[in-house]
Amino acid sequence: VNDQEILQLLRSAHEFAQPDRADVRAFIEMGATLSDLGVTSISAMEMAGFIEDEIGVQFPDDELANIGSVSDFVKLVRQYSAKVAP
Amino acid sequence: VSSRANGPVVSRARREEIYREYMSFFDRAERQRRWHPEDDIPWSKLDRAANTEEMAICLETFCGVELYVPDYTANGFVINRELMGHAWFQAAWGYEESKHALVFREYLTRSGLRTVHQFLDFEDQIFAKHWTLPYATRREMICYGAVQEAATYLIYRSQREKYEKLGNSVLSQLFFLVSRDEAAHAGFYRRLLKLEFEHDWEGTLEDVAGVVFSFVMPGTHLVPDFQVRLAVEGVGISGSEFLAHAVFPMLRYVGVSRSQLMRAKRQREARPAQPAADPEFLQQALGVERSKRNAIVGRAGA
Repeated sequence: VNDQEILQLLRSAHEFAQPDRADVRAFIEMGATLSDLGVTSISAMEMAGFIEDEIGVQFPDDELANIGSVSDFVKLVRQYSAKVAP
Repeated sequence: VSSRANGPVVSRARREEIYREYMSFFDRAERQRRWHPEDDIPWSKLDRAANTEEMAICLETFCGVELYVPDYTANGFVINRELMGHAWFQAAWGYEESKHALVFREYLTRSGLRTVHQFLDFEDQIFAKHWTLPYATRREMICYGAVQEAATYLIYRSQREKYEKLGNSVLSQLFFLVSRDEAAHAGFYRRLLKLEFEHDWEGTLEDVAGVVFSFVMPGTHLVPDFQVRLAVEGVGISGSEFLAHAVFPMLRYVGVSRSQLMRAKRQREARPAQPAADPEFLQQALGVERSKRNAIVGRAGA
Protein backbone atom coordinates (compact mmCIF):
# COMPACT_ATOMS: atom_id res chain seq x y z
CA VAL A 1 0.00 0.00 0.00
CA ASN A 2 1.54 3.33 -0.99
CA ASP A 3 1.09 6.65 0.77
CA GLN A 4 -1.45 7.96 -1.76
CA GLU A 5 -3.60 4.90 -1.23
CA ILE A 6 -3.36 5.34 2.50
CA LEU A 7 -4.35 9.01 2.19
CA GLN A 8 -7.36 7.96 0.14
CA LEU A 9 -8.23 5.43 2.83
CA LEU A 10 -7.93 8.18 5.45
CA ARG A 11 -10.31 10.39 3.46
CA SER A 12 -12.84 7.55 3.36
CA ALA A 13 -12.36 7.03 7.10
CA HIS A 14 -12.88 10.75 7.67
CA GLU A 15 -16.06 10.67 5.59
CA PHE A 16 -17.25 7.81 7.77
CA ALA A 17 -16.36 9.47 11.07
CA GLN A 18 -17.25 13.06 10.17
CA PRO A 19 -19.70 12.93 7.24
CA ASP A 20 -20.68 16.58 7.70
CA ARG A 21 -17.09 17.87 7.41
CA ALA A 22 -16.56 17.47 3.66
CA ASP A 23 -15.05 20.97 3.70
CA VAL A 24 -11.78 19.74 5.25
CA ARG A 25 -11.46 16.42 3.39
CA ALA A 26 -9.34 17.87 0.59
CA PHE A 27 -6.85 19.05 3.21
CA ILE A 28 -6.06 15.53 4.38
CA GLU A 29 -2.45 15.60 3.26
CA MET A 30 0.82 14.57 4.87
CA GLY A 31 1.56 17.98 6.39
CA ALA A 32 -1.78 18.41 8.19
CA THR A 33 -2.29 17.93 11.91
CA LEU A 34 -5.51 16.40 13.20
CA SER A 35 -6.35 19.61 15.02
CA ASP A 36 -5.96 21.52 11.71
CA LEU A 37 -8.65 19.25 10.34
CA GLY A 38 -10.87 19.53 13.42
CA VAL A 39 -10.40 15.83 14.13
CA THR A 40 -10.60 15.09 17.86
CA SER A 41 -8.96 12.07 19.46
CA ILE A 42 -12.35 10.37 19.64
CA SER A 43 -12.94 10.97 15.92
CA ALA A 44 -9.45 9.67 15.20
CA MET A 45 -10.37 6.52 17.12
CA GLU A 46 -13.44 6.16 14.92
CA MET A 47 -11.36 6.70 11.77
CA ALA A 48 -8.92 4.07 12.99
CA GLY A 49 -11.81 1.65 13.56
CA PHE A 50 -12.94 2.16 9.97
CA ILE A 51 -9.42 1.49 8.65
CA GLU A 52 -9.00 -1.56 10.87
CA ASP A 53 -12.17 -3.04 9.39
CA GLU A 54 -11.09 -2.17 5.85
CA ILE A 55 -7.63 -3.69 5.96
CA GLY A 56 -8.14 -6.31 8.66
CA VAL A 57 -5.65 -5.12 11.28
CA GLN A 58 -5.82 -4.04 14.90
CA PHE A 59 -3.79 -0.99 15.93
CA PRO A 60 -2.45 -1.05 19.49
CA ASP A 61 -4.32 1.38 21.78
CA ASP A 62 -1.18 3.17 22.92
CA GLU A 63 -0.05 3.92 19.37
CA LEU A 64 -3.52 5.04 18.40
CA ALA A 65 -3.69 7.43 21.34
CA ASN A 66 -0.48 9.12 20.19
CA ILE A 67 -1.64 10.03 16.69
CA GLY A 68 -1.50 13.78 16.23
CA SER A 69 -1.14 14.24 12.50
CA VAL A 70 -2.01 12.77 9.12
CA SER A 71 1.59 11.58 8.70
CA ASP A 72 1.35 9.74 12.07
CA PHE A 73 -1.77 8.03 10.77
CA VAL A 74 -0.13 7.12 7.46
CA LYS A 75 2.90 5.71 9.26
CA LEU A 76 0.70 3.59 11.51
CA VAL A 77 -1.35 2.22 8.60
CA ARG A 78 1.81 1.55 6.55
CA GLN A 79 3.39 -0.29 9.47
CA TYR A 80 0.42 -2.50 10.26
CA SER A 81 -0.77 -3.10 6.70
CA ALA A 82 2.72 -4.41 5.91
CA LYS A 83 2.25 -7.01 8.64
CA VAL A 84 -0.80 -8.49 6.92
CA ALA A 85 0.46 -8.13 3.34
CA PRO A 86 0.85 -11.46 1.52
CA VAL B 1 -40.37 -6.70 43.67
CA SER B 2 -37.87 -4.51 41.90
CA SER B 3 -36.67 -0.96 41.52
CA ARG B 4 -36.96 0.97 38.27
CA ALA B 5 -34.64 3.94 38.81
CA ASN B 6 -35.14 5.54 35.40
CA GLY B 7 -34.13 2.65 33.23
CA PRO B 8 -34.76 -1.04 32.98
CA VAL B 9 -36.20 -2.70 36.06
CA VAL B 10 -33.48 -3.63 38.54
CA SER B 11 -33.95 -6.99 40.22
CA ARG B 12 -33.42 -7.60 43.92
CA ALA B 13 -30.28 -9.59 43.15
CA ARG B 14 -28.77 -6.69 41.22
CA ARG B 15 -29.84 -4.19 43.85
CA GLU B 16 -27.95 -6.28 46.38
CA GLU B 17 -24.87 -6.41 44.11
CA ILE B 18 -24.90 -2.62 43.75
CA TYR B 19 -25.32 -2.25 47.49
CA ARG B 20 -22.34 -4.58 48.13
CA GLU B 21 -20.22 -2.55 45.72
CA TYR B 22 -21.14 0.57 47.61
CA MET B 23 -20.33 -1.03 50.97
CA SER B 24 -16.92 -1.98 49.63
CA PHE B 25 -16.35 1.60 48.39
CA PHE B 26 -17.60 3.04 51.67
CA ASP B 27 -15.50 0.73 53.82
CA ARG B 28 -12.34 1.69 51.98
CA ALA B 29 -13.24 5.38 52.07
CA GLU B 30 -13.87 5.33 55.83
CA ARG B 31 -10.80 3.32 56.73
CA GLN B 32 -8.20 4.64 54.29
CA ARG B 33 -9.31 7.77 52.52
CA ARG B 34 -10.89 10.17 55.01
CA TRP B 35 -9.10 13.50 55.25
CA HIS B 36 -9.70 16.89 56.83
CA PRO B 37 -9.30 20.05 54.73
CA GLU B 38 -7.73 21.88 57.67
CA ASP B 39 -5.56 19.17 59.19
CA ASP B 40 -4.29 17.18 56.21
CA ILE B 41 -2.93 20.02 54.09
CA PRO B 42 0.22 21.82 55.32
CA TRP B 43 -1.29 25.30 55.07
CA SER B 44 1.50 26.81 57.21
CA LYS B 45 3.90 26.18 54.31
CA LEU B 46 1.80 28.20 51.86
CA ASP B 47 4.18 30.51 50.02
CA ARG B 48 2.59 33.55 48.40
CA ALA B 49 5.78 34.10 46.41
CA ALA B 50 4.86 31.03 44.37
CA ASN B 51 1.60 32.61 43.18
CA THR B 52 0.97 32.84 39.46
CA GLU B 53 -2.14 33.81 37.52
CA GLU B 54 -2.01 30.45 35.71
CA MET B 55 -2.20 28.74 39.10
CA ALA B 56 -5.20 30.91 40.00
CA ILE B 57 -7.01 30.11 36.76
CA CYS B 58 -6.48 26.38 37.24
CA LEU B 59 -7.69 26.37 40.85
CA GLU B 60 -10.61 28.67 40.12
CA THR B 61 -11.71 26.52 37.16
CA PHE B 62 -11.51 23.30 39.18
CA CYS B 63 -13.40 24.98 42.00
CA GLY B 64 -16.03 26.22 39.55
CA VAL B 65 -16.69 22.69 38.32
CA GLU B 66 -16.86 21.33 41.88
CA LEU B 67 -19.25 24.11 42.91
CA TYR B 68 -22.02 22.41 40.96
CA VAL B 69 -22.20 19.71 43.64
CA PRO B 70 -25.78 20.75 44.54
CA ASP B 71 -26.89 20.19 40.92
CA TYR B 72 -24.88 16.99 40.47
CA THR B 73 -26.34 15.41 43.56
CA ALA B 74 -29.91 16.73 43.14
CA ASN B 75 -30.07 15.47 39.56
CA GLY B 76 -28.29 12.24 40.43
CA PHE B 77 -30.80 11.42 43.15
CA VAL B 78 -33.63 11.79 40.64
CA ILE B 79 -32.35 8.81 38.67
CA ASN B 80 -30.91 6.65 41.44
CA ARG B 81 -32.91 7.30 44.61
CA GLU B 82 -34.66 3.94 44.49
CA LEU B 83 -31.38 2.01 44.49
CA MET B 84 -29.87 2.25 47.92
CA GLY B 85 -26.33 1.32 46.87
CA HIS B 86 -26.26 3.89 44.10
CA ALA B 87 -28.10 6.65 45.96
CA TRP B 88 -25.86 6.26 49.00
CA PHE B 89 -22.84 6.45 46.74
CA GLN B 90 -24.28 9.68 45.33
CA ALA B 91 -24.48 11.09 48.85
CA ALA B 92 -20.94 10.01 49.77
CA TRP B 93 -19.64 11.23 46.43
CA GLY B 94 -21.28 14.63 46.98
CA TYR B 95 -19.64 14.92 50.40
CA GLU B 96 -16.20 14.12 48.98
CA GLU B 97 -16.57 16.45 45.99
CA SER B 98 -17.78 19.22 48.27
CA LYS B 99 -14.47 19.05 50.14
CA HIS B 100 -12.63 19.52 46.86
CA ALA B 101 -14.42 22.84 46.32
CA LEU B 102 -13.55 23.83 49.90
CA VAL B 103 -9.81 23.29 49.52
CA PHE B 104 -9.65 25.02 46.15
CA ARG B 105 -11.48 28.02 47.59
CA GLU B 106 -9.27 28.03 50.69
CA TYR B 107 -6.09 27.98 48.63
CA LEU B 108 -7.32 30.77 46.35
CA THR B 109 -8.21 33.08 49.23
CA ARG B 110 -5.48 32.18 51.75
CA SER B 111 -2.79 32.62 49.10
CA GLY B 112 -4.20 35.96 47.99
CA LEU B 113 -4.63 34.67 44.45
CA ARG B 114 -8.23 35.85 44.78
CA THR B 115 -9.88 38.09 47.36
CA VAL B 116 -13.03 36.85 49.07
CA HIS B 117 -15.04 39.35 47.03
CA GLN B 118 -13.48 38.17 43.78
CA PHE B 119 -14.32 34.62 44.74
CA LEU B 120 -17.91 35.54 45.61
CA ASP B 121 -18.26 37.24 42.21
CA PHE B 122 -17.06 34.01 40.61
CA GLU B 123 -19.44 31.98 42.76
CA ASP B 124 -22.33 34.20 41.59
CA GLN B 125 -21.42 33.48 37.98
CA ILE B 126 -21.28 29.77 38.68
CA PHE B 127 -24.59 29.58 40.52
CA ALA B 128 -26.33 31.66 37.84
CA LYS B 129 -26.24 28.53 35.69
CA HIS B 130 -27.56 25.04 36.34
CA TRP B 131 -26.04 21.69 35.52
CA THR B 132 -28.54 19.20 34.15
CA LEU B 133 -28.14 15.51 33.36
CA PRO B 134 -26.29 15.09 30.07
CA TYR B 135 -27.90 11.67 29.56
CA ALA B 136 -31.38 10.39 30.38
CA THR B 137 -30.79 7.03 31.99
CA ARG B 138 -28.99 5.76 35.06
CA ARG B 139 -26.88 3.38 32.98
CA GLU B 140 -25.72 6.14 30.64
CA MET B 141 -24.85 8.24 33.67
CA ILE B 142 -22.76 5.36 35.03
CA CYS B 143 -20.83 5.33 31.73
CA TYR B 144 -20.47 9.10 31.95
CA GLY B 145 -19.26 8.88 35.55
CA ALA B 146 -16.67 6.25 34.68
CA VAL B 147 -15.16 8.45 31.96
CA GLN B 148 -15.56 11.81 33.66
CA GLU B 149 -14.10 10.76 37.01
CA ALA B 150 -11.13 9.16 35.27
CA ALA B 151 -10.51 12.34 33.26
CA THR B 152 -10.74 14.47 36.41
CA TYR B 153 -8.33 12.13 38.18
CA LEU B 154 -5.83 12.57 35.33
CA ILE B 155 -6.11 16.36 35.47
CA TYR B 156 -5.57 16.45 39.25
CA ARG B 157 -2.78 13.89 39.12
CA SER B 158 -0.86 15.96 36.59
CA GLN B 159 -1.26 18.98 38.89
CA ARG B 160 0.09 16.96 41.80
CA GLU B 161 3.13 15.91 39.76
CA LYS B 162 3.71 19.49 38.63
CA TYR B 163 3.65 20.90 42.15
CA GLU B 164 5.80 18.08 43.50
CA LYS B 165 8.46 19.06 40.98
CA LEU B 166 8.09 22.73 41.90
CA GLY B 167 8.42 21.94 45.62
CA ASN B 168 4.98 23.36 46.46
CA SER B 169 4.09 20.95 49.27
CA VAL B 170 0.71 22.57 49.93
CA LEU B 171 -0.62 22.09 46.41
CA SER B 172 1.04 18.71 45.89
CA GLN B 173 -0.66 17.39 49.05
CA LEU B 174 -3.96 19.06 48.11
CA PHE B 175 -3.91 17.46 44.67
CA PHE B 176 -2.82 14.12 46.13
CA LEU B 177 -5.96 14.07 48.28
CA VAL B 178 -8.43 15.18 45.64
CA SER B 179 -6.96 12.98 42.89
CA ARG B 180 -7.10 9.93 45.17
CA ASP B 181 -10.81 10.59 45.73
CA GLU B 182 -11.42 10.93 42.00
CA ALA B 183 -9.61 7.64 41.33
CA ALA B 184 -11.86 5.93 43.88
CA HIS B 185 -14.97 7.40 42.25
CA ALA B 186 -13.84 6.27 38.80
CA GLY B 187 -13.24 2.77 40.17
CA PHE B 188 -16.73 2.59 41.67
CA TYR B 189 -18.36 3.65 38.41
CA ARG B 190 -16.26 1.13 36.47
CA ARG B 191 -17.42 -1.65 38.78
CA LEU B 192 -21.06 -0.58 38.41
CA LEU B 193 -20.56 -0.54 34.66
CA LYS B 194 -19.25 -4.09 34.75
CA LEU B 195 -22.39 -5.16 36.62
CA GLU B 196 -24.47 -3.52 33.90
CA PHE B 197 -22.54 -5.47 31.25
CA GLU B 198 -23.19 -8.71 33.12
CA HIS B 199 -26.90 -7.94 33.05
CA ASP B 200 -27.29 -6.57 29.49
CA TRP B 201 -24.17 -6.72 27.31
CA GLU B 202 -25.61 -5.26 24.10
CA GLY B 203 -27.59 -2.45 25.69
CA THR B 204 -24.75 -1.39 27.95
CA LEU B 205 -22.29 -1.46 25.07
CA GLU B 206 -24.51 0.86 23.06
CA ASP B 207 -24.76 3.22 26.01
CA VAL B 208 -20.99 3.23 26.43
CA ALA B 209 -20.59 4.01 22.73
CA GLY B 210 -23.16 6.80 22.94
CA VAL B 211 -21.40 8.39 25.90
CA VAL B 212 -17.81 7.99 24.68
CA PHE B 213 -18.58 9.62 21.32
CA SER B 214 -20.50 12.55 22.75
CA PHE B 215 -18.57 13.11 25.99
CA VAL B 216 -17.83 16.62 27.22
CA MET B 217 -16.51 17.60 30.64
CA PRO B 218 -19.16 19.11 32.94
CA GLY B 219 -17.55 22.55 33.09
CA THR B 220 -17.51 23.04 29.33
CA HIS B 221 -20.77 24.98 29.09
CA LEU B 222 -20.94 26.21 32.67
CA VAL B 223 -17.68 27.72 33.91
CA PRO B 224 -17.23 31.28 32.60
CA ASP B 225 -14.78 31.54 29.67
CA PHE B 226 -14.10 27.81 29.83
CA GLN B 227 -12.54 27.65 26.35
CA VAL B 228 -10.19 30.52 27.23
CA ARG B 229 -9.28 28.80 30.49
CA LEU B 230 -8.47 25.59 28.61
CA ALA B 231 -5.57 27.42 26.97
CA VAL B 232 -3.89 27.51 30.40
CA GLU B 233 -1.70 24.47 30.87
CA GLY B 234 -3.17 22.03 33.37
CA VAL B 235 -6.82 23.06 33.14
CA GLY B 236 -7.55 20.11 30.86
CA ILE B 237 -5.87 17.04 29.41
CA SER B 238 -5.01 16.27 25.82
CA GLY B 239 -7.22 14.09 23.69
CA SER B 240 -4.52 11.44 23.52
CA GLU B 241 -4.24 11.32 27.32
CA PHE B 242 -8.02 11.07 27.54
CA LEU B 243 -8.06 8.12 25.17
CA ALA B 244 -5.00 6.36 26.56
CA HIS B 245 -5.72 6.77 30.26
CA ALA B 246 -9.50 7.20 30.59
CA VAL B 247 -11.31 5.56 27.67
CA PHE B 248 -9.10 2.60 26.77
CA PRO B 249 -8.57 1.39 30.37
CA MET B 250 -12.33 1.51 30.94
CA LEU B 251 -12.94 -0.54 27.78
CA ARG B 252 -10.30 -3.07 28.83
CA TYR B 253 -11.80 -3.31 32.32
CA VAL B 254 -15.25 -4.20 31.00
CA GLY B 255 -13.81 -6.42 28.25
CA VAL B 256 -14.87 -4.39 25.22
CA SER B 257 -12.74 -3.99 22.10
CA ARG B 258 -12.69 -0.83 20.03
CA SER B 259 -14.26 -2.64 17.07
CA GLN B 260 -17.14 -3.77 19.31
CA LEU B 261 -17.52 -0.17 20.44
CA MET B 262 -17.65 1.04 16.82
CA ARG B 263 -20.28 -1.52 15.89
CA ALA B 264 -22.36 -0.51 18.90
CA LYS B 265 -22.12 3.13 17.90
CA ARG B 266 -23.47 2.32 14.43
CA GLN B 267 -26.30 0.24 15.90
CA ARG B 268 -27.21 3.06 18.25
CA GLU B 269 -27.15 5.63 15.44
CA ALA B 270 -29.42 3.44 13.32
CA ARG B 271 -32.18 3.79 15.89
CA PRO B 272 -34.35 6.91 16.40
CA ALA B 273 -32.80 9.47 18.75
CA GLN B 274 -33.60 9.14 22.45
CA PRO B 275 -35.19 12.15 24.16
CA ALA B 276 -32.73 14.36 26.01
CA ALA B 277 -32.58 14.25 29.78
CA ASP B 278 -35.18 16.46 31.40
CA PRO B 279 -35.16 16.57 35.20
CA GLU B 280 -38.82 17.61 35.37
CA PHE B 281 -39.78 14.76 33.09
CA LEU B 282 -37.65 12.39 35.14
CA GLN B 283 -39.21 13.57 38.39
CA GLN B 284 -42.67 13.06 36.94
CA ALA B 285 -41.71 9.67 35.51
CA LEU B 286 -40.44 8.51 38.87
CA GLY B 287 -43.54 9.84 40.58
CA VAL B 288 -45.80 7.99 38.16
CA GLU B 289 -43.76 4.82 38.57
CA ARG B 290 -44.03 5.03 42.35
CA SER B 291 -47.78 5.66 42.15
CA LYS B 292 -48.20 2.61 39.93
CA ARG B 293 -46.22 0.45 42.28
CA ASN B 294 -48.05 1.77 45.32
CA ALA B 295 -51.33 0.98 43.59
CA ILE B 296 -50.14 -2.56 42.85
CA VAL B 297 -48.89 -3.00 46.41
CA GLY B 298 -52.18 -1.55 47.67
CA ARG B 299 -54.24 -3.98 45.59
CA ALA B 300 -52.10 -6.90 46.69
CA GLY B 301 -52.58 -5.83 50.30
CA ALA B 302 -56.35 -5.59 49.83
